Amino acid sequence: MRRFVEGLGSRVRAGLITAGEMASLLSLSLRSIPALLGPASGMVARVAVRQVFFTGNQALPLTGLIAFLIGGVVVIQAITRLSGLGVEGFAGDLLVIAVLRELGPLIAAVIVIGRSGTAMAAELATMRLRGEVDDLETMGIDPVQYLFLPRLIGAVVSLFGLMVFFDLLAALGGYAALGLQTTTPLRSYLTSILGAIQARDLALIPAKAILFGGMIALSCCYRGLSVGDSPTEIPRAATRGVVMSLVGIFVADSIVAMMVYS
Amino acid sequence: MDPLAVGPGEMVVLTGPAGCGKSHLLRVAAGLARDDDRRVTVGGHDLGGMSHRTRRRAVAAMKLLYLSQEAPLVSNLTVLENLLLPIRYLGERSDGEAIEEALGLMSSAGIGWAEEEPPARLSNEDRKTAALLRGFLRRPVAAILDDPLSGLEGSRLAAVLPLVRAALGKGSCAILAAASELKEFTGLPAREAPLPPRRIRTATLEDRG
Repeated sequence: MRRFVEGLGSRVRAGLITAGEMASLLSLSLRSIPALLGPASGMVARVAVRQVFFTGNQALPLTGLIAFLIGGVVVIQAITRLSGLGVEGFAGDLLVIAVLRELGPLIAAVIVIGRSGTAMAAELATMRLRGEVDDLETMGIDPVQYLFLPRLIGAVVSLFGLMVFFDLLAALGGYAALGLQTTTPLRSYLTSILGAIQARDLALIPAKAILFGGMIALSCCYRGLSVGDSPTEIPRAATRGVVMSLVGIFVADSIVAMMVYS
Repeated sequence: MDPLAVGPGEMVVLTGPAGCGKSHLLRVAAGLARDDDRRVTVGGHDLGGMSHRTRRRAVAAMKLLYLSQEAPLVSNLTVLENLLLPIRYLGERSDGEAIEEALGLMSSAGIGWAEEEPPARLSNEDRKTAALLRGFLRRPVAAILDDPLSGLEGSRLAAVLPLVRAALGKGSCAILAAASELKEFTGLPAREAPLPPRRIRTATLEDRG
């Protein structure tokens, strides 16, 4: 029993330390933003653009394919279950509720975690182990501003773009599935979607991009930058970053859903 | 060990057997490690005792050059971008002038071919050369160099030595280096400071009995 309590205590302590260090990393990065008005802005912008290219642009084909299929699957399931109830009129509502509100942001975030979160954690862990992070410090370059901040910006911007792209392709997939089973005209399909969208749905797209993108960059960069001396810690850092990001986005999404829609 | 002072235009080389603490002393000087027994100041600053932010400002103001034995370069930049990184980031000089000088140095050091290559394509010798060029391109006021010339030969060495000599010649740069022997610095006005093997202060071996 004593061992159990001690184990629990040490885990809580480790969790609090991690939370404190992550909060410190975020605070340092936010405090380094004013310095971007100086000569560092060009370098940071260049790294951020590279991150957007890798995290957002290169993820478009995969995101588009998944979104198209999911949009189609949601509509096919609805047609199968609700045939005879005028599902054509509900297709837009279903897509908005299932995809725009929940699946779109979550799946886009999972894609970013899988493709870029692991890369961020492994890249920063390798840089730390090779002495590159210390090297930046000794040149007077702030590693938080040069390494973390552009990845944070890149993750948020990319996720926003991917979420919008996901919603568009899911709508297209939904219409393709609807077209296979019914003769619903595109105009009425689009009208049903636009009629179902509420202002808060639109406001939540950038809000979730900031929340999820921030969590992904923070978790993965923190894990990458916290490695010790051994190369075996690189895959561990990537795994821990992914797990932490996944837990973070699902918990945050649940809280947002309860706060906004309940 | 006696107090050691390195003034502008001077080069002092810490020598001693492997494991005597040369690299550690240099890391302390660069503010990357702490040593309760030794106090090392660079430009009047005890870098190890500063916060990260204050240290970065002091290091940038001094244009301090620290080169570890591994001589790392930022792996996701090209070699030319690496050479220009601190100058661009800290806005030390105009980009055009820095690019021209960097390309000239790379060419004379025999690594001009690596301009657009990532550091992973470089041999250890080329990487170390590039790291030295990056450091001296900034025209540093103080330099801390850990075994900077070992493994450098031919055009690499021929390109690096004049840079070190020029930095010393202007009387603006103080260099503290470490090497196993002083003869690696033949041709440079270097003064030797032998570092004695690290003395064991306390050691305790206890058994359970």
